[in-house]
Amino acid sequence: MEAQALLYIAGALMLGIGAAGAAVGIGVLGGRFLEGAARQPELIPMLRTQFFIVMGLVDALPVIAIAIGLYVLFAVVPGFGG
Amino acid sequence: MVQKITIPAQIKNILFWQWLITFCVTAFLFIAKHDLAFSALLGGAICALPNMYFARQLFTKRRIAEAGTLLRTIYVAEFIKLSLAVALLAIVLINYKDVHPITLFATYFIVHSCMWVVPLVTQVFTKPTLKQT
Repeated sequence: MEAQALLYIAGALMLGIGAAGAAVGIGVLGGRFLEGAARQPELIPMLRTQFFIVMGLVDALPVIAIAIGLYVLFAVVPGFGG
Repeated sequence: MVQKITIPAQIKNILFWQWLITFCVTAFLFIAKHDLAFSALLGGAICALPNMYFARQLFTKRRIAEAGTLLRTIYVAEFIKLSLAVALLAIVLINYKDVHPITLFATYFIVHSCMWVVPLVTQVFTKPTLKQT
């Protein structure tokens, strides 16, 4: 019972901290994108391509953390999620 | 100002390599240990499909060239992309009980690493060589 409760807490922490990390990263990235676009609007197409790539880097680990959290919740904890 | 924008070659290259690596890993595992192959295919597809959606939303259709509106569009597309990835993962983990999680997450990570490996390799191979004087 205690181990199961710890698994719920672990899954929730993985989901929550992963989401917080992604939020901070994407917020900083968006702010820098706006700064760059405001300074040199002619570079927007290039900035957008770089934004796509860096956005992929920023949300890689949070999505993996969410995936492992979901795995813990749905597959490891017995009786959760059907 | 409304523009018709196509997906840049660099992004197409990344998406192409993501699918190629997914199918290569799946084919390799199908030959080596074929009960893991489907997990690898799912892991790669869970990574590549939301990226395709994000690229399509970001670069095609009519897009407004103002930075603020563009950023809003990007954030909406990113939210949908993350939701799609999480929904696909949840669907796989709930409905497919025989999934091998290590293979799933490893393929996901390998396919996701294309996002930074492919631009790096492309940049190295297309960099003009400087002549020594």
